[in-house]
Amino acid sequence: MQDVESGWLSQAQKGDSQAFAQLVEAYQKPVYNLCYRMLHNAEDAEDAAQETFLRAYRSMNRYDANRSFSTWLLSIAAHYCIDQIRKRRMTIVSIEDLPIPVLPDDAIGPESTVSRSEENRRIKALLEVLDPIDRVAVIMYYWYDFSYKEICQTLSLTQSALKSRLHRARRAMAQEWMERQTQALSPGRRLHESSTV
Amino acid sequence: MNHQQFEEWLFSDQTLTPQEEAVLQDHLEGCESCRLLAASWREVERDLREAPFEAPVPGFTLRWRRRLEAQQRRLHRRQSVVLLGYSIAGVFLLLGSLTILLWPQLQSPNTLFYTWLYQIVSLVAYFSFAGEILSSIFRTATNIVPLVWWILILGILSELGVLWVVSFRMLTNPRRITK
Repeated sequence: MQDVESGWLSQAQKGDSQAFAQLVEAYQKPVYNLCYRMLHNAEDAEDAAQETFLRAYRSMNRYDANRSFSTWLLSIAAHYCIDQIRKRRMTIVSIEDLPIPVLPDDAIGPESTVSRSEENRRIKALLEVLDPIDRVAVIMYYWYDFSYKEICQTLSLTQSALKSRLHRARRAMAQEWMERQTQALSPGRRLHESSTV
Repeated sequence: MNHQQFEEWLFSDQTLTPQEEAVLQDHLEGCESCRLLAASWREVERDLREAPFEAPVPGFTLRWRRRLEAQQRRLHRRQSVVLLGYSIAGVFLLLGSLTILLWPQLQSPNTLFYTWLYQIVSLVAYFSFAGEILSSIFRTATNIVPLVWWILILGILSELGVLWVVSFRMLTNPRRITK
């Protein structure tokens, strides 16, 4: 498989779009998942993943064959998503402009759909409290099993900076989880608070 | 109480020594906030480790190809517009320079007409003179250089011409996206 992939890579570096399309086919899922976990929206994730592959195709002549292609590709996706999150923070979005959620796959049963969407909502809430760079670090660590070295290369961080970011992110997520649990367990208190306002 | 060391252990990847583990457990038994934090982190970590890989809607590669084609079309269009803009600017620059240069003559069109007529007649005279010189050189050369050499020179020149046309076409043709 690696030989086949290195063949596609060398062809793609010569400008062969057919060979690059094979790479798109092979890496669409990891790239899309990173974008989805970063942006929490199917439409934005699709756009970001497409843009990642377009940028990678344009920059193929700068790709160093000694480096892992997936690390390089995910690094492009991560930086693009970080930029999108920063831009999004500067734009005020009205409720009408928010994207319509994508309907779940028909093949999945209603119960598992509910549990999966609940799980996605929980993960979204946890990741949303994080700074974009911390978010990428957490995603790469837990979904992609990247080593510290690979994450450091991708995000241009030192190992100690990465460790401190991961520590901060884990603490923030645990804190968020605790707060959500507390809120869920005391609905009467919230009702009382809202009626007194 | 200082919880920093215990939090460090809770959120760290490093494996704790049995002594550290015992100290941490001892602390968790007595400290409710750290115990809650540890329990929450266990839940979060489980969620993160169990979360599936999300996949795009089928047909992702096909959509990528369409985007690439659209982007390349836009790029070519932009290049054409830029080229056209430069050409128009060049023409205007040339016309402006000519107008400034010929401004005194433009004041009297008769003089300008006779001057141009004179220039054209002179050019024709120069070219016919140059033609006569070249034809006399050619006539002399045909007597000196043998016929085989002529064939050889013409052959090389025509091959170079073909080579030039082919390389020009290869360089100027836009790259096609193969389906």
